[in-house]
Amino acid sequence: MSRSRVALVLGSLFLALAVAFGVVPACSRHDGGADDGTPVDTEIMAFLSEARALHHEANMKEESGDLAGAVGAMDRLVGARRPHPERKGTSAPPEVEEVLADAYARLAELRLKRGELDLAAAAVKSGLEHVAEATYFRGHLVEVQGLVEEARAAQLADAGNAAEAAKAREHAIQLLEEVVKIQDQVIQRSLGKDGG
Amino acid sequence: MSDRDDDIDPDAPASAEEIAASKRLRDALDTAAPAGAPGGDDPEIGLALALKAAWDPNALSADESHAMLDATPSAEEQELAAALRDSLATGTSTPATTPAHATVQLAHALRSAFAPAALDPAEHDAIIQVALANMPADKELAPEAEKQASNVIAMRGRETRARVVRVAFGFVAGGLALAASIFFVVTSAPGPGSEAPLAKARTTQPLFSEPFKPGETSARIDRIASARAADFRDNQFAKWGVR
Repeated sequence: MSRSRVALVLGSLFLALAVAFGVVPACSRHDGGADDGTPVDTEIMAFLSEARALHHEANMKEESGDLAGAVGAMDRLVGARRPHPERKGTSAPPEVEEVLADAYARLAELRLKRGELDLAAAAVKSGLEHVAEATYFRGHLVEVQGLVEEARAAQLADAGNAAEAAKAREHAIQLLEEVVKIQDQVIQRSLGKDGG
Repeated sequence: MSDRDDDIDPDAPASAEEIAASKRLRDALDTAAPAGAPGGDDPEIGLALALKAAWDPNALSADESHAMLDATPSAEEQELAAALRDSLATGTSTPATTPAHATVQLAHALRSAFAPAALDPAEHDAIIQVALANMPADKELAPEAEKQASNVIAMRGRETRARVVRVAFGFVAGGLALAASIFFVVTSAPGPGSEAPLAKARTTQPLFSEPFKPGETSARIDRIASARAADFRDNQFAKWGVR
């Protein structure tokens, strides 16, 4: 056998050994890579189920004209026991945070319908604490906040307080512009993910 | 002609001449005239005898058989027989220069096809030489070609060794591949202390393709709950080891 053939055979053997004992273990390590996210478990599903039930209960009450009952359903949701309470802030399950933000947005809308502007604004403020990043959820909350300020401006104008009404109107416009920016960021990010 | 044919009556009685011809044909068939003398001068009787012999041939008579066996072979037949016998006995074949030699070559070809003999070294060398002679003349390559021709038999040994080496490395490579496969299966299988990958809690933003509209909150929670219910089922199956 020539030297070149010997070198070829030895090279092939070395490559086979490298694949068997190098790459494969590396792949297994990759498969078992660290991921700190909480698995979708019974606690999360129980919370989501409870949220779903309360939203549908609020639907029926709202359709029957019982806005107070609908507000009560949403109040129960935002005050419900949360899954994985040990995880707070950014480590909390994102689904739970987003469902809470959406519940606060609906609560604010219901309060707005009832003319309870301060309570509506408070609900928006609470909801924003659950969604810090630019998402549809945050955009929706800010949108509701703008509607609340718009209603406040109208209420102030009706009360003859033109100066405060103008401030409230200006604030509403700023909030609605912020909504546009947030939604634009969301769309841009979505397009970037699709392109990448 | 048509006028004459129209005058013949198909139902008219046979004439004396026709009756006589019919008797001669019947007698000839009954006596089974031997081959070679079919019917004498009458072509109709000859045709009838030939048809009968083809349909129902008679056995040869003893005289006819003796006559054929005692017939003396011709000189050409004797030469062909001797050449065939000698050639088959010695196993040699001569170029087909005559029809007799062509017959001998045919006999050799049939025997070789049925029971081929080992190639004689001298004949092998002769084949090599013929093949080399047909190659384009190249003075520089000629010695090398002759050397290759003389080493043909010796190279068989080298080829055998090379084949053994390839088979050996084939076994080695196959063994390594098998070992790698086993290693992969062992390392990738979930062990008692390991968990299958589970669906993690994550943002629900990808579930929605456009900004939220007023009055659709319960529809959103429906979608979120349905999506995560599917994840939850998968996780349960994974924990039970059925995924």
